[in-house]
Amino acid sequence: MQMNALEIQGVSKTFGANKVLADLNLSLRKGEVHALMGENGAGKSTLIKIISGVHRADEGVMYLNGEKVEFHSPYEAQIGGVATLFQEIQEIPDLTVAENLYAGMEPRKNRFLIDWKALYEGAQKQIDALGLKIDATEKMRHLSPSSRKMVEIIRAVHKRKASIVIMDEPTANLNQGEIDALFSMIGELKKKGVSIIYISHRMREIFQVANRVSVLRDGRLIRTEDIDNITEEEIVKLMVGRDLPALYPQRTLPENAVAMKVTDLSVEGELDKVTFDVRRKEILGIAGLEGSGATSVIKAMFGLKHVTSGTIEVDGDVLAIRTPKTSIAQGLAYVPEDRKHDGLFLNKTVGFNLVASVLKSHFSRLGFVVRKREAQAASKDVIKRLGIKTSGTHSKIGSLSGGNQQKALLGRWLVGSYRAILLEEPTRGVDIGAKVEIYKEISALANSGLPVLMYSSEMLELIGMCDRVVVIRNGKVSGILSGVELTEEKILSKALSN
Amino acid sequence: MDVILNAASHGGRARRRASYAEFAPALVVLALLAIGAISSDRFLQTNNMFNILQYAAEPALVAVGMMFVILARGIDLSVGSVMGIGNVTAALMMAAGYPVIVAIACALLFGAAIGLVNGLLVTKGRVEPIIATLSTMIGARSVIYFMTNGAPLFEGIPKSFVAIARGKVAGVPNGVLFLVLVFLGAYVVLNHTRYGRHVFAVGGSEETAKLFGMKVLWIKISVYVISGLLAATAGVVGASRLGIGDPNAGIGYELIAITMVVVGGVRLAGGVGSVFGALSGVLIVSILTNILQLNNVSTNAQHAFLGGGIIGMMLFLSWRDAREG
Amino acid sequence: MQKSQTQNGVAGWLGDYRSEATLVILLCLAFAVAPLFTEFFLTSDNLFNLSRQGSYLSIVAIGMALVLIVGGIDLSIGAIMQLVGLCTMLLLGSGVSAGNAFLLALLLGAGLGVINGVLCVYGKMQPFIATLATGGIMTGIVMTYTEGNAVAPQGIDPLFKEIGGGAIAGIPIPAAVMIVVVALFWWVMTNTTYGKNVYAVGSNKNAARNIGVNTNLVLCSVYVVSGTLAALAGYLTFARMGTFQPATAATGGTPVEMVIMAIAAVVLGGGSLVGGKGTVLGAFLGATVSAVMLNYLVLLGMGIWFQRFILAMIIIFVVLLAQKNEAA
Repeated sequence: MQMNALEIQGVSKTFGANKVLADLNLSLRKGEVHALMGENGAGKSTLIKIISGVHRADEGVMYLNGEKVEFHSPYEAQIGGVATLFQEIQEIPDLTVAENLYAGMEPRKNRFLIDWKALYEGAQKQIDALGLKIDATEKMRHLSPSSRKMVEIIRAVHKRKASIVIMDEPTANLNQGEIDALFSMIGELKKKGVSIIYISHRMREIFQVANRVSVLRDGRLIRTEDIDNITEEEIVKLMVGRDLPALYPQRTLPENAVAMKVTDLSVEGELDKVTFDVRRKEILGIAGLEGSGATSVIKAMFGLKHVTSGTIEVDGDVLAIRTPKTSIAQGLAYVPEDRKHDGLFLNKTVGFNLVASVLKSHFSRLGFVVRKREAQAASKDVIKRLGIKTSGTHSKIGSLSGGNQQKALLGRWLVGSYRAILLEEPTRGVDIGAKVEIYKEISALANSGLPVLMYSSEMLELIGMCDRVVVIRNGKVSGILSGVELTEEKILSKALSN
Repeated sequence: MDVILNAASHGGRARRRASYAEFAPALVVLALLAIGAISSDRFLQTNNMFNILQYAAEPALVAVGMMFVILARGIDLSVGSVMGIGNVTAALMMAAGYPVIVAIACALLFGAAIGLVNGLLVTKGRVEPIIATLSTMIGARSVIYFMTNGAPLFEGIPKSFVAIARGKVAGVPNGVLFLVLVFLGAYVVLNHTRYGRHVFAVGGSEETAKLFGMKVLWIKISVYVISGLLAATAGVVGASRLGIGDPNAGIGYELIAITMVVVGGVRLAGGVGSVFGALSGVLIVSILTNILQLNNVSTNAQHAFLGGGIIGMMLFLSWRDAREG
Repeated sequence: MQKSQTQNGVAGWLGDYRSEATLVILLCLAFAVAPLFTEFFLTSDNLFNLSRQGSYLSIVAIGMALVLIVGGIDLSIGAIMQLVGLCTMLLLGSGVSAGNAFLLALLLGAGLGVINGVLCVYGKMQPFIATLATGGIMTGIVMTYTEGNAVAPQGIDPLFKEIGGGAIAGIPIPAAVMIVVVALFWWVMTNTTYGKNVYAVGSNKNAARNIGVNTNLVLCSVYVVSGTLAALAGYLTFARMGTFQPATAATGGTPVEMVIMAIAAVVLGGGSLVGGKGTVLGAFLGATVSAVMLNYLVLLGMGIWFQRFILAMIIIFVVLLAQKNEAA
């Protein structure tokens, strides 16, 4: 029996009151690609953060090539032979590609001076060998996201002599050519005996590249299986752990009357004459691969993009698309995809976050004096209605769990009345329990008669929640799916370029 | 596929524009030289040119130190006071009879020590750089006044010390040599050593630099030490030039140094900038001051011109950044 | 369960006002131990002077607090005080009444603030550089005009000196003005939508925009507030003197010193240069503590540089303490 590259035994991790990993075992064979599957919040990212030295486990041991190891920092893990590609690109944007590739390991002519010639030639050689068209002397900042990701991959995989490479959603920003380059890199690594932990939500990739798959749920390892002995459906079932209908609320049928109409919405270089309508009580999904422009639709409607043409009609009134301020005044409510960066006031209280958007319109005298007591009461109602777990309206929202933060982000729009709801990634990074409650609330909003528009990168979520899904490709609407046509395969085939 | 192609061609355009913009400060220097030549016939004389460079030496020393700190995403407001510390420490030591070389060494060490305090406050104490160095700025200036009781030191400064700043090598004033040396040194360190590149990396993204295995803590402390050391050096040069120990030496230099560095295109948020740009920044401020002097604009009014110049330059730079995206 | 929740609430509330509480304790201590060291501290003359001296700093510190809350900085407030002081004196000299001069002074301060705001927000300049430059220009104008000499026109409205030196119900007028300003801005920042918007922008600019806040307007406005309050402080300062004296290192303090003291006051009061934090009350208490401490040291016969040394130590001490609390 060959020694395993990585052996994890009894690892547990708790954040606050939240047990994220519970007595987890995992083994990684030499030279295999091991897919890690699980819903958001299943514990995948915590697990890889422990392996790569970002977090430390509360309990449990880790053996690397038979030796017991304990990493105190990502750097220690790298030295120990664990290279990790996190979802966010690790780069120094204002240094060149070659400098990023060699960062910390710059070749030197003597004890002091960097050998620039060797650095740039060496970097270009590695890039060319993979058939990529990237100029090593270019600043990282000026590359496309996919090229930046490829540079990071080369760096992580080739520069250090890694025995384990962890890849967290490596293909999220890549085009097909780059995905092929990545997979050939993975093939070479396997030949050299390097083991790979591969995380992706794209089922097709898993079956293409993985040897074995492990499914995590609620911080536990549910099953590890050879890829040949398992089907897509079985994996999904193991991931969700319950039947899909229980996850998504029962929907009432939308009415026939059109409540919101978007016509010829265009944004230079991103959207080209996007047209669709949303009926009363309907949840309309927006889908599309990275770079398709799908993420821009809602932003453009809300006034966050420079819209070159297009109109939005709500209940027959044509809205002026200018700024978020005017959009809100005209009745649009918006939940941004990145709650930390664009949504929440993390160092402010839950109460502040819940009512900040409606203070002027709902809780002020003369338009500027805040009626604190009423505002407080309203935020308490929202906390109760959404079941936000917090010690009170005075707690800092940054101290809440991701799920509760996301509920608050949605809850902000439950006070006051709006004419349409625009949601981006409404359940990003939250656990299943919070998901169910958020889904219920979205459904309730729609049932109350509002048109709901929802962008999500999780196809299962779109299929489970939406009455129809608009698929965007190259900035254009490539199809509108509903009913029996609403499947992952159909969405993907509409989303992929021909 | 279209999207990717577009991105690549956009990258190319941005790069050309960036390299053009990198030379903007140098172009301003050339423009100022032309304006100077037109406005006064004394301007282009060798003597005047040496004058400009000689007087630029002290602020240049401070500005180079400031550049290291700003590149690593910090700021050092204590440099003016540290300059004063260097100045009076050297003067006091010499007045007390110590050899010139010991006096200078002590002055520089004192400056470096204050830099170390700054570095430790910022890293270990996690105090914001502005606050930390503001406090050492006030503190160090107080120490100067304890040391001197606020009175200038005229006595006991040997001729050999005065010769350091006033001397010439092959007809070139030493001050000019200091200027050249400090920029040459900065160029080699920042552009040709791992340490220098890591300073850029830390300023660009501290987290990533850590992940890449760079010694972030040591780099962040060291830039303040370099800044303190160079500021004290500037103080020593100033004492040598005037032949006195001046407790008011260096007042206001933190702002002059920041102005020079930023006008030279070094980004205040860290990670971006070039030695060539900083040199241009030093020259822009120095030449502008000289032109104003030659045209009998009072020292006071020079503030106004400098301020206006900064706003013009910065508006151009921010316009450039906006276009670059 | 119920009990632990209320305890949480109290601790949470104290947590929000931890810096303020520390400063109040420091102040009480200062007053309590003062008689042990100097008999002059608690005299009514000294307290009268102290409250007047402290009022200028408190007023500008509140403007600075707003700027720091949105993550900006205003290095021009000292220069605004100077320029406004000079203009006020020139207006008075040409026969304008003290009241009209007051309004024009505030208007000028607001206008200078608009310039700062526009450069920072629409010119996309770093606030540090923009306000440094505008401050430099203003100082340059003042110094060029005065050539460093005092401006003391004859026959100005006598009300002007009364405003600077007089008292209402035993409180010096500048201190009374300060109380009004502190109360007004305390109320504005805690009870109005504008105050909430300022905090929202400082906490997360993108999020503020996404809930419909006009972030550019808010960012601009804090510089206007800061400029106006600096103008107010400038007017009161020179009303006390009755003449305009340009600030130079030789006359005890440059325009930059006021900036440093104001930033120090806000930071002492729990503010931070990264934005989103700080309160009006904290800035006021920070300024008051600084003023009391400096007064104290003067009475103890300590030179100005010893006072500043102590001030620097206190800033570091309080900031390090705040960091520790944050980490805990």
